[in-house]
Amino acid sequence: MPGSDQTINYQIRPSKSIERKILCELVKEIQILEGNRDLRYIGLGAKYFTDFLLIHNEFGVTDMISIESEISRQVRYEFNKPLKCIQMRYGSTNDILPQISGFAEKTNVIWLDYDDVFSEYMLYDIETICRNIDTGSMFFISCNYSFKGENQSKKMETFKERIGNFFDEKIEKKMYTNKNIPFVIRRIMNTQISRIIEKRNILDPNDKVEYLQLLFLTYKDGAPMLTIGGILVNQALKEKISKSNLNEKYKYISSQEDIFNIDIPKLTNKEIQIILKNIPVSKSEYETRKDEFYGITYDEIEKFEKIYRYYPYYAEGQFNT
Amino acid sequence: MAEKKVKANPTKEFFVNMLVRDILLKQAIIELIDNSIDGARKIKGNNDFEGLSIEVNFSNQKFSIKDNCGGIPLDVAENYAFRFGRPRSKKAEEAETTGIFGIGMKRALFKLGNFFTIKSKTKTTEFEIELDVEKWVVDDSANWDFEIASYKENMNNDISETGTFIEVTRLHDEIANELATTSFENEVIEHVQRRVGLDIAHGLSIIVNGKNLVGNNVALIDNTEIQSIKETYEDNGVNVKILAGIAPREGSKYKPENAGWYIYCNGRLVIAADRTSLTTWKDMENKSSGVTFHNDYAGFRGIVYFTSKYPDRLPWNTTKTGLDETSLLYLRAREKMIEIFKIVKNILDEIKKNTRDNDDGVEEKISNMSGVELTIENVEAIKDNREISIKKIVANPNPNVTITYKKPKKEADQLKELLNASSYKEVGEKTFEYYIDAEC
Repeated sequence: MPGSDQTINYQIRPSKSIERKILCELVKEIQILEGNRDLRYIGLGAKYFTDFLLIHNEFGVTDMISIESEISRQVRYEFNKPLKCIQMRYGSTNDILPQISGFAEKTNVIWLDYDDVFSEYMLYDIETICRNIDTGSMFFISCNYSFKGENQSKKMETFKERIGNFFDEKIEKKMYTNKNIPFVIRRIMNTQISRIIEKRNILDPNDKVEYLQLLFLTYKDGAPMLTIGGILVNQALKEKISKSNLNEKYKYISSQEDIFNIDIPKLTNKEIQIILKNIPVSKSEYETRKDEFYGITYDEIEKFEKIYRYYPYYAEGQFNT
Repeated sequence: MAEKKVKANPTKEFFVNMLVRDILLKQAIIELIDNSIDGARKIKGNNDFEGLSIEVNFSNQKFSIKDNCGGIPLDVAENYAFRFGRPRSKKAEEAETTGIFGIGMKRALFKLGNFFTIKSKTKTTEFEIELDVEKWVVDDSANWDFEIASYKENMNNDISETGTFIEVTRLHDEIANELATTSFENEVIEHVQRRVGLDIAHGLSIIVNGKNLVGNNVALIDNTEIQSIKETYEDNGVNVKILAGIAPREGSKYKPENAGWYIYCNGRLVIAADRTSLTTWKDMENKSSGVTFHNDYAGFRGIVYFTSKYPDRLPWNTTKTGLDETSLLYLRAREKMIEIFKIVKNILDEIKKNTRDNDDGVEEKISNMSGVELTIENVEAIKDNREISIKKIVANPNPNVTITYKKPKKEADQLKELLNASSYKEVGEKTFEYYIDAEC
């Protein structure tokens, strides 16, 4: 099966672009709290390596690993690899993650941006990650969450087939709707994370770790996608994070079940400019000055306000090779 | 009012009759061999055991073990060697030995019979003990000591004369019967060859009933195409080395019964070919992770070496023939074993898939690879590594594939006769060659 890099141009997917910048900002904030530890980035670069370039440019990270399952197109990936410091590892994430060493030596930022719908193998990756990363390290997974089936029973069946052993009989059938499946995924992921973390804490009682969810995003990128993940903390780091008011500062941070939905209103550049000049604007203020917004709805303004700092501005240009 | 107390002190019967139930006869013999090897390790720190030997002889009349491994010093005999349990004052050993609980040798001797003699000679001391167990038990006094029959001090013995000789007579009936069978002898030999195979590989000679034992150690493929996986770390004074990979074939295929995990504590194999949830497999006891063993994984070998100068920190049970499954040190190692297992399992899956989908000779290539016997030096020589990839295996550009088909017996028999073939396999090969010759 061809990877999504052959069907979608990663560089102009606005939701992805916003998501990347959010993730980057979050890493930056955690870096400030943690002090300056060396970073390592592990991702699935595909052939655009957009996330790799961003992380490299923002943080100067030179220890970067891109996992690529399409061994047959190795030449193409090596050709497209934009930075010498990116180490290509060919194989599935299940194959490669256990082969990576030195997890404890650096702060790892791992973003597994899968193309697939949520599946069993992702939970094995989470297992390997949670067993190996140190406190302060972060991991996120992005996956498709549209499961086939015209009703809840059918959706539940497809879901069960996908996640095999990890299926949780206790989750009610009524949860298997497009709207609620992200919560089912979150629950199953959390069970897997706790299983590993609890064991870690029993085996190493002097170094108790906890998982703190930081992101729970949904967006449409062709298919409905979600990103979920967080950080492993010890008591000291947990306190630092809670004192830092990050939760207040960034609306997208979610430690519980609140989803931050990236929904990009379709706006022209002129509309964008007028919104930027006027936000923040309250609903009542909007109502009194409605004419100044030329028919842009308050809903559109609210949606845009949530993401404007990360919004990608595209322009056509000519690039001579 | 006069003070009253409840008696809680142990009785001799408890030691003689109860504790022996926890060990098998085979384990009792192993225990005595372990003691001799500990002696060897104390006098030869560098693991070069050339010239040292342990001779074990048994029949339905008596059991004996004789070594030239340095002997038991008189003061050790007086203060430690025969105490029940280990006094708190005993410190870390200079070598990686097995003595921990202060129970092994006595329990082994009680298991065997009712009368034993121990003679031991070091460079400077000599002693002899004789014990009639039945008499010792009957004596109900608080005196638990064994009398030293004779001793000498301040000697100047040559190192080659040193050693220990133990003989047990008046064997218990069931023990005498078991010792007389060849099946038991074979079982002991096989067990010892595996258990202390590392020491045998280092020149230690072990002779059981006149048969010279050969070390039986695990081997792994480790070359430029297939590397062993290795992780080394230290945990609370214990050195841990985990190795895993693909074994070389034994003959034309793998014996699935040899697959699995092997666990050593201070050079003694305590778990062999484990394929249960004690290690990394899924089974009835643990369904939450791993895979169930099946023959596709017959090439898997994982080996864990725990070594320490504090043998009490090693994760073995009191008979030192199994694991203490509750040991956190072991459970921490198991988490690492699980990840290492995934690496090897994945490549075995890939090889299998490759054979099934486009048999390009990878499996054939691997089947002809030889292995490295995992002796201490060879294990040291293998570098820490987590990477293994099917891509590195350069297969024969013109590999062989297997073709199977079914045809009516009558026709096949006809061809067999015509081709002068001795088997149907040969019929297949010859008709194939005929077609190539005629049509290609």
